[in-house]
Amino acid sequence: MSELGGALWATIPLLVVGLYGIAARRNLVRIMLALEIVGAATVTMLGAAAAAKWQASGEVLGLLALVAVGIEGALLIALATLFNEMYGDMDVIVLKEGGEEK
Amino acid sequence: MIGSLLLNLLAILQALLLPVQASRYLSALLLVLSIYFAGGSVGSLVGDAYTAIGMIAIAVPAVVTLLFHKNPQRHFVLLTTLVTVAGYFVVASRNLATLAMSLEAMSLAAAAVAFYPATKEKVRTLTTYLIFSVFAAVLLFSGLAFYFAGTNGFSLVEFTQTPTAIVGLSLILASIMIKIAVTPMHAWAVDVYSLSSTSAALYLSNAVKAAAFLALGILASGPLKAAFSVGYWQVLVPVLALAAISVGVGAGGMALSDRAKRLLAFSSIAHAGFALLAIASPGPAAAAILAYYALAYSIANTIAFSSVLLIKGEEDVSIRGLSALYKRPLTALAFAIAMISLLGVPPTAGFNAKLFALFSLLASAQIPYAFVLAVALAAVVFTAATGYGYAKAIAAVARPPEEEAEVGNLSLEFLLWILAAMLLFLYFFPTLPTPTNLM
Repeated sequence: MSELGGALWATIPLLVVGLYGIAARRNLVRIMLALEIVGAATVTMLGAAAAAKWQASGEVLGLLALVAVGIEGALLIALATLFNEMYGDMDVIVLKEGGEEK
Repeated sequence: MIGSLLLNLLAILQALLLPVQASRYLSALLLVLSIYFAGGSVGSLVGDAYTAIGMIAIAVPAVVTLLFHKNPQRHFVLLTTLVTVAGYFVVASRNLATLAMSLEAMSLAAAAVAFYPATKEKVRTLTTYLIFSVFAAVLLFSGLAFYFAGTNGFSLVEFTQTPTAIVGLSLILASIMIKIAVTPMHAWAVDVYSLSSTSAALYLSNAVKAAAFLALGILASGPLKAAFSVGYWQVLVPVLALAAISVGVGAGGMALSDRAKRLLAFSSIAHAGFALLAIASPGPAAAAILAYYALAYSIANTIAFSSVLLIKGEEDVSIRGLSALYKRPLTALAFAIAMISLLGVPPTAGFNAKLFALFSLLASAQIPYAFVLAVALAAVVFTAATGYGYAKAIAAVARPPEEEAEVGNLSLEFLLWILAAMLLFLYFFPTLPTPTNLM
């Protein structure tokens, strides 16, 4: 991994924080934020690798990844809002066990 | 290939502009025609026999969905067309970047199809699906970033065996495993397939899964093969273990299901696990087996879901309710052939598909043989257990219905007979194409 230097190391804490968030949080919005943090780590890594190797394709793909993860994130936030309106809760446990509609 | 791309573009444009009653038929026609014109190559999109088989596996459920959905809305036709075109791109991709973007485009549109028709009851289902989908997307792009950092590009053939690239490859593999619903990431499939409308479930469980199988095949014949050849076989150990468990989970779920769509949802989880066994010996042969598996699965599963469509339209039906097919002997026979194929009994394509996947597993030279044997044994025993679920469905269509039920859509029934005949034909004449021109 040393070929990318400091930029790559900067993405590792982001990845760890994001993955911890996905595993440990139950609130939909917090899960979404954790997923977006992993997404940010990914884009940073693609950008760093592209800069280190002088290959623009990595930057282009980083942008596309940003768009794809962003769209899915926006959809999930929209659903979380609807979910909150319906069940008065954003806890994912409601997804599994079912909740009472308001 | 350029002709195929133009026809795909035309299909999307007309789905946007024309009235739905015309666009659904035109869309089906253009999507089928584009298979015929998918020769040659454009950039990293290559039209070879592998692409053609993949396109057929995706087109079969797409055509049934477009032609036989009762009163589809305009956006359903558009979304189905978009997912199909993205699926075509997946199977034609011979470069990792194109493959990843096509897979994501397909997943994004598929999420919208899963929500069709939009009702408040589906919010829970779609939220579950989206969490898994975003997680899969994040894994895919993280994997791609690691792969890019490790190998200096997105080439499928120039794979450098750095630890960074291996981590990337493992993450991409994990992402595809979520998309095909391998245990423990299978929860979304049961909810989405059993609670969506029948047409949406038919389409999602076949087209998306077939495209993901073929994507796995492309990976298997490129970087996975390269990683395997230099001793990174450990990557596949958890994959194979999860594959065997997945077949077991599918079998258990099927035994406990009393609704047809839920039974088929668990069946799809079992099949995802079984198909995954083929990558135990990564290479062009594994890709060919996955392509054949995808085609056999797509045809059989389309027949199964279409039978629900025939009986109850967009709603679910109990397994006992399948007895409505009793008065349509040829359609009941087609359904029984599909079930036998899904179980993997000769003379159907499903038998060959499972046999080839097992051969591929047992031919694995580097993975410890005791482990391979244990996985193979577990997969065979669990597959035999799925037989109970399929037997329930076959027994239902062989019994006279308890209450009168009207089943009558001759054109759909005719199509099911042809598809069932294809399952028999593919048993005697199996087609095993390999992806060419990897870039």
